[in-house]
Amino acid sequence: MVIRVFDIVSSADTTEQGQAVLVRLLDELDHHQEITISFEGIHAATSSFVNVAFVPLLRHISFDDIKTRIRIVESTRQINGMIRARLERNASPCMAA
Amino acid sequence: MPAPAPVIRLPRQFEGVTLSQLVAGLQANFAQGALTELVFDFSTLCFIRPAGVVFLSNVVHWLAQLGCKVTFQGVAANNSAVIRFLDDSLFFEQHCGRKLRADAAPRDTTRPLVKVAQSASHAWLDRNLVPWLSSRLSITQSSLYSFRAVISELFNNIKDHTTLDIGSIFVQHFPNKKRVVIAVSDFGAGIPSTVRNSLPSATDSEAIIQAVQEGFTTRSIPTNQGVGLDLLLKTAVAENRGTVTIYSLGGIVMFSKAGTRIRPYVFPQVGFCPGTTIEISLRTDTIQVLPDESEEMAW
Repeated sequence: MVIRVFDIVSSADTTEQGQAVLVRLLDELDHHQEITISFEGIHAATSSFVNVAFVPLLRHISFDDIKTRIRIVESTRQINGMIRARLERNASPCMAA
Repeated sequence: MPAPAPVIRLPRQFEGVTLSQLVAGLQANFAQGALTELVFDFSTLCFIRPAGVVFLSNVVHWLAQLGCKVTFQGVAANNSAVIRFLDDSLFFEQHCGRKLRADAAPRDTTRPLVKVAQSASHAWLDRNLVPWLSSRLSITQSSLYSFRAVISELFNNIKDHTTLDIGSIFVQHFPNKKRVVIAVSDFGAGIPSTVRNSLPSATDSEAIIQAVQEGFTTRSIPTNQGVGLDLLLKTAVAENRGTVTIYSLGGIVMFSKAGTRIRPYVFPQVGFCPGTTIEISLRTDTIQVLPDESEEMAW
């Protein structure tokens, strides 16, 4: 299952855009064990976007599970660095529901 | 007979600490009551830095929002290159509705003055700034994405911390100096005001220095804690070895790299800068060139 971020939002800059992506990610994670997120067409991601699109995933699954279940492709060094940094900073032991 | 409109003469060199001198003149006039009309005198202006361009533009927008009629004088009488520079930067088109010269046009070395309108500003980075800079510096666009991201963070800060919706950006390439200068300005509450919600006793300069520390935030939960200023310093100063100067309220602090550390230099307080103006001076000879290839996340 490939989720193209550009199909959901035009860029990865704002909290509103992050919220739209989070809704989709949560839905897909509910239905698929593994998902692939493509950032094709998107060049950079702000902390505001990542804080809302990815960090809340930690309330549902552990960071280890994120690394196992989510593959990120067609991305950039900046995007990957921002996602990794914000998740590492906010990761904590999580009892998934 | 109504009193003549007060006249504020622009400083000869509109940069750095002289920004606050402009506001000192404004404050003196406002202290006498609401301003309905104000004149900016350009006759002695000789030089203006990018920070001055965005700051002046914001001041004019701010006065207009207050219902103050703003007039420019001394423009025609000033034969210096700075007036042509402002005209080519589309400053007069934005504030007077027309260019001074019919053939005024953005120069190869600048991006015209842009008002930061939230809905369009992030897209402007992708469609305008990054491609232009990539072409100017003959490097891949991928090499510029980290800078694009920190500027987006600044745009988000403007949206999050100001209700006046006044923000501007101006970019200038100095090829002889191997520098690109990016200036962003807003008329929010100012960094010191926000920081003093957490640190009430901090001076304006101390507040600016605190605001750029990694991990410092005025927000309460992870989903609204942007990294903003510490990431700006990491990208533009630590990695690029450029400088970042922040003007906000009574504080002016320039950050540069000394050895392995980022050092703040506090300018002596000479006045007042409403909101926040940030001038980023990037070295073009230290930008890490990255291939224009997508990457897969390596957890």
